[in-house]
Amino acid sequence: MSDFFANFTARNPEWLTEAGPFSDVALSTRARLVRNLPDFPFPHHASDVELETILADMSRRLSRLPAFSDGWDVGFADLEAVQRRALQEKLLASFRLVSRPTSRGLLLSRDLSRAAMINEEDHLRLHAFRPGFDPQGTLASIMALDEELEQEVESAFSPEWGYLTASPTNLGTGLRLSALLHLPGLVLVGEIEKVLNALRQLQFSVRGLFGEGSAVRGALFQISNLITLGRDEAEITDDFQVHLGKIITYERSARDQLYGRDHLGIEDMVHRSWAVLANARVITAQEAFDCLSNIRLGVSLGLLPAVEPGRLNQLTVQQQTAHLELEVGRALSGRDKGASRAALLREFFAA
Amino acid sequence: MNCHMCGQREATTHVLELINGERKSVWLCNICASGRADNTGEEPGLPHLGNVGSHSGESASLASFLGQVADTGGGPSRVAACPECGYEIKAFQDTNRLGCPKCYAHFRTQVLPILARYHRHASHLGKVPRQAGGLASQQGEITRLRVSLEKSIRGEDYEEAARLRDVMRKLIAERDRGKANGQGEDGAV
Repeated sequence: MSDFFANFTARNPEWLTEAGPFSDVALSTRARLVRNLPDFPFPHHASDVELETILADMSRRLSRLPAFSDGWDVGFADLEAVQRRALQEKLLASFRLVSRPTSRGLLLSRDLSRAAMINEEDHLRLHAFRPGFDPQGTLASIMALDEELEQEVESAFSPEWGYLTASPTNLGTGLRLSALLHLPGLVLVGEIEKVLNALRQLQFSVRGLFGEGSAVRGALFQISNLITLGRDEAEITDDFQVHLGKIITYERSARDQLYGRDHLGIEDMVHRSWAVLANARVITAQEAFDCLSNIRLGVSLGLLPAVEPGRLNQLTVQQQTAHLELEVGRALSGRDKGASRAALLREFFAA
Repeated sequence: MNCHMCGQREATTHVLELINGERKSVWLCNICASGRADNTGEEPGLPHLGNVGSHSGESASLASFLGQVADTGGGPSRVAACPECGYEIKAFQDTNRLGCPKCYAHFRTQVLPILARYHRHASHLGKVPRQAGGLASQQGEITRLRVSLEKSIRGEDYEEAARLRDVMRKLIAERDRGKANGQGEDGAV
């Protein structure tokens, strides 16, 4: 594990740093499958002994899968709190796993494109990630991982209700697709609530960067399907592709509309944000998220041709507290935190 | 015009049904048209055929069309606690989480309305693990047929709907014979 955390802050998954389809709007796409063992209580109702048994057994079996055999088995409970939070900041571990680390596990593939969380809400949650907006590619990746899993683990399944899960809201396929979308155009033209409400009507959930309960920062929205039962994996994915594809089109048109209406105002906003990140000596996470969002908008409008969106994604992750603390090797509070963040951002924007 | 089913509310929806090979025109209110009996506790606004397969919310018009192929699965149950893991039904009502995979069979009655409300469907369509074997694949085929049948009815292709109904009826009978011969049960995990 020391190997894994050596140079951790700079170790970024390709799905976050590489340009994928529609990467002017979409940062990444994730697919999640929920699986449980037939003969154990779900984690919230299991005893400490049962949780430990599940963790040991699943870790052993999962590490035999080709996806994880040359990756990392992160002994989650043994990690320092800051390391666990950094995994959440990289979107590789959920808040639930980070807040209750005892008897929990996390396996990661070598390239960080696939992950398995053990004893989260369910015995097993598999994740696959792809850059940009790529529901079909992400589905293919997660189903291939599930095929590998089937060789090693028998899952709780009912012919009538499909894969059985701790919450009936995940029942059936257990498949949840999520896309991380940057929607500043819709925010600035005042259409965002209308669009998000329409998505909610269509049974999609809209959340912030870190999922359930998290605030929206820097116009980054995580949108996921809610229905997992009564539609097969292909239909869920097609539906996701169609509806989120429309959101991407609306966002592009909102950006064009904004720029056409007031190009000077947009250029001023983008370059002011650049100036803040290039010069600030102390900066909060919220302000950094907002400035990075404006700069990302400028990149997509062709105002800053030299900047790679992947580099912005990387900075968005690295400017968060646990990453800063791992980088300096100590806990940071108040102004120290803001100063470390500002120094990191200056290094790129003032270069 | 009053609803032909409840006779009380104003009819708003025109439904064509195929009964014994003959088309029959029926006018329904929006409650009866969406297949929701008043005592199901489901929220308004759920789409019509979306609940097919949910025993509490099965579309009345489709049920009459299906006639004898109504697939009731296991019988309803009401227990205070899961005999496998001891999880209490009250905890499920408070947290919306079950205690173990086998709770689904024991708390079936309480789970079904949630499935209809949240997913708008009450039966699985999609991947079947290899270990689940023949009965699971058969159940998957029945569900696929049911979805095709819904689509045929929506598209008013009643000949195709009748054909699918007959295939479904045959498969359900085969599945039930298989169960009686001890090949497994629906709620098996």
